[in-house]
Amino acid sequence: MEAGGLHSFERVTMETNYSTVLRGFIVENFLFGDDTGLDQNASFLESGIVDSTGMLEIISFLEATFHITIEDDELIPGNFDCLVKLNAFLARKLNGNPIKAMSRKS
Amino acid sequence: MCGIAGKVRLTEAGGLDPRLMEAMLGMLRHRGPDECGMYVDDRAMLGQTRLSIIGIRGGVQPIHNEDETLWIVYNGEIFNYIELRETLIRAGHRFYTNTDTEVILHLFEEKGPACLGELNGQFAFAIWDSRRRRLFIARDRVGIRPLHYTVRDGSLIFASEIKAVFADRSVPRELDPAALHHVFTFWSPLPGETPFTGVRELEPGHYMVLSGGRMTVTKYWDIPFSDNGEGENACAGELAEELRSLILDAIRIRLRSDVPVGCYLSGGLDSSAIASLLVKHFDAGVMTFGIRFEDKRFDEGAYQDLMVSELGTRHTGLEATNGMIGEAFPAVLWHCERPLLRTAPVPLFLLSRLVHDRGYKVVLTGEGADEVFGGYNIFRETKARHFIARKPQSPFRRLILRKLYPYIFTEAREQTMMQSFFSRDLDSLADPLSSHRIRWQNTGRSRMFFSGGLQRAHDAGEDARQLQSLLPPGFETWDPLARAQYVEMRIFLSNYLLSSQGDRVAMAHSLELRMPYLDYRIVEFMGRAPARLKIRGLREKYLMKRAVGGDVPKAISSRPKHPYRAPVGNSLLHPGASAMIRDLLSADALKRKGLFDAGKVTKLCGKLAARPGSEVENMAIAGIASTQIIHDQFITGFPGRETSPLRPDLLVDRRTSPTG
Repeated sequence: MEAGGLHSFERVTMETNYSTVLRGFIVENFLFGDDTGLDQNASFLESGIVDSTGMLEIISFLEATFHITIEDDELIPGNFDCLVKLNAFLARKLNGNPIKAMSRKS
Repeated sequence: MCGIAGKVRLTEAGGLDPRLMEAMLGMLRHRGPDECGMYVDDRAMLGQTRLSIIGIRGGVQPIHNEDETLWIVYNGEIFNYIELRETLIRAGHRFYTNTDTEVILHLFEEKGPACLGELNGQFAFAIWDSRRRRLFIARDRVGIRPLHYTVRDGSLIFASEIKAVFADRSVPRELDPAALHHVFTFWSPLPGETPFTGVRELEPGHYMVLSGGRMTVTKYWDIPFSDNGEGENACAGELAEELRSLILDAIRIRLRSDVPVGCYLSGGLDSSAIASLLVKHFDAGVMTFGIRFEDKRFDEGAYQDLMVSELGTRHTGLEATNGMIGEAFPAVLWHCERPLLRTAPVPLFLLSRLVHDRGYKVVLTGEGADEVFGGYNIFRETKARHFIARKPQSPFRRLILRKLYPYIFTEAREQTMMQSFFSRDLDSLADPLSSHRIRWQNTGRSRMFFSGGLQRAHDAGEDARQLQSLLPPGFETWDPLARAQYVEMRIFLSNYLLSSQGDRVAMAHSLELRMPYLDYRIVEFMGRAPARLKIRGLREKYLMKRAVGGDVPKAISSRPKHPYRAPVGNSLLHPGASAMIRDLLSADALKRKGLFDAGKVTKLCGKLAARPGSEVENMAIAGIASTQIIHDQFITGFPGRETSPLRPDLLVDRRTSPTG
């Protein structure tokens, strides 16, 4: 099925799913299960939640989980520096084909 | 080099038991395996274990003055003792030994506390004036030798190592939550603190007088930076020339010894320059020692080989494997007596054992050069951030970061990300501690593993006040480099580098380190030198390289700085690591001690077993494992190592009614 064929309701559900996946990854991997105080808008770099090796982990995770390739010029804080930005970036990136991306994960 | 200990009554007389001193000295046997001695009267008891290096025969301590009213126990070396001795003899003092110990005692008789200004060395000592009933304790300027104390039941109890203080079983033993917060933020306790509640260290450059029941602590020296007015116009060539002769003289007087002196050789500039000057000017046949790593990311073996073939020294290398590091970690902690966020002390502990086995008691090392000459990346980073902050929008200025951290920016795709990371908080540069804030914030992330109880046991707001109290008057007016150097030296040099990577891991195997770059004449000289000549552009240790860089091959002097580090996660979680680590990181043990969040730590261990993890995660696992071990060895299971009382070779008993 082509992404263009999705109803908007289904698209929202899909986005909610991967934002949950993203949040889960950040909480498990960088906060060791404790999500108290994790603000959707908190800058990863400013707050120290993620450091340089952590950024590499996020990038590898995204590429492996969602089967995307992240281009060099996309690696800017505007795309990665908090959960909201990360979600938005992923939404843009997957806009072409979210179903394929999510289904291939499983 | 030696160990010292004492117990002195504050007001009332009596109650001093030599058997307690035997137990205290037993804890310090490794510091001085050659001889030991004790003095006791109604108010004071002093003891010492001796590693004989100068005046080998007849140097057993305590040593007394002509009329036996002053008694000294002493750990250290006074490198200018020969000159001081001659002056004292001319002034009429009579000596009964050939030791530097006796020189201090007569100089103290002559000048009181002002004697400290004339001592060029590394020391901690205590002098008991039995007539005036006054105790004088002092520690060297930069804190190369340790001295800890506590007050309990009307007595001052002091010793080179905390374990000897704890040998007095009346002293309560518990971890200090504030100090734990500090270790997990600043990498070490703050000056004066120890990890244990109620136990203090006498700070570097301080002395204490105990008299009439009152204890006063006085600072006699501080790291001498200024606003750099005087040296600003100095000529680089002349300063380099002067520095070179100071370094040569610092090495020359550090070769004074009645036993052979070896040299550490890491393959870096600092130790290579010392080894090279040593071979060329003083001792062509010197024996050198160096560490290699199984994990090649940490290894500098190729540079060691280069220096050895260049100098023709007899060299012995020790290869530190990940398993060996994990295996020796608990033993190292017994000696370091504090939680560690790194494993770097372990290979140095293994190396000192090898050096000891080769029959050496003394080595020169390059320690202190990065602090004194401006070698650390944090200093260059400070300079770069100030440079960017002058025009924050300039993309050109930000490129400087690539030069600063070539090994981080090798990942070309991450550059924009990292540039924004390092240029964060540019508007906070007015903060006098801005050089270290990012480091402290990052390290402080490791406190997320604290249990709720430990989190709540300390108010982090208190830290700001404590940090502020460390800063000398006029600090805000210094140039950013001098400020960063001061903070680094005040907080980290003595408390971690000279201790956990210095005195403790060397003395564990009865080995004395001597550090020419920390000769106070060099420290004071560099305090006056202008910032632009310490780091030129981003070229670190510029003046030092001009002074002695020509003495080593270009491949050494121009190589990128390689910070001395050791693998953490891969060592502590290695199958060959000590079972104690595994046991104390189990959920059960974590819950039992209540210091850390067992769930989070278990996840952290899982993550680090699967992948390398971030720097903070590695620091955290080292900090957690070491805190658990320290708690085991010093609180619940003290003493965590086998020890036995030490019978003195010399006992001076002046009690009026011995009861022991």
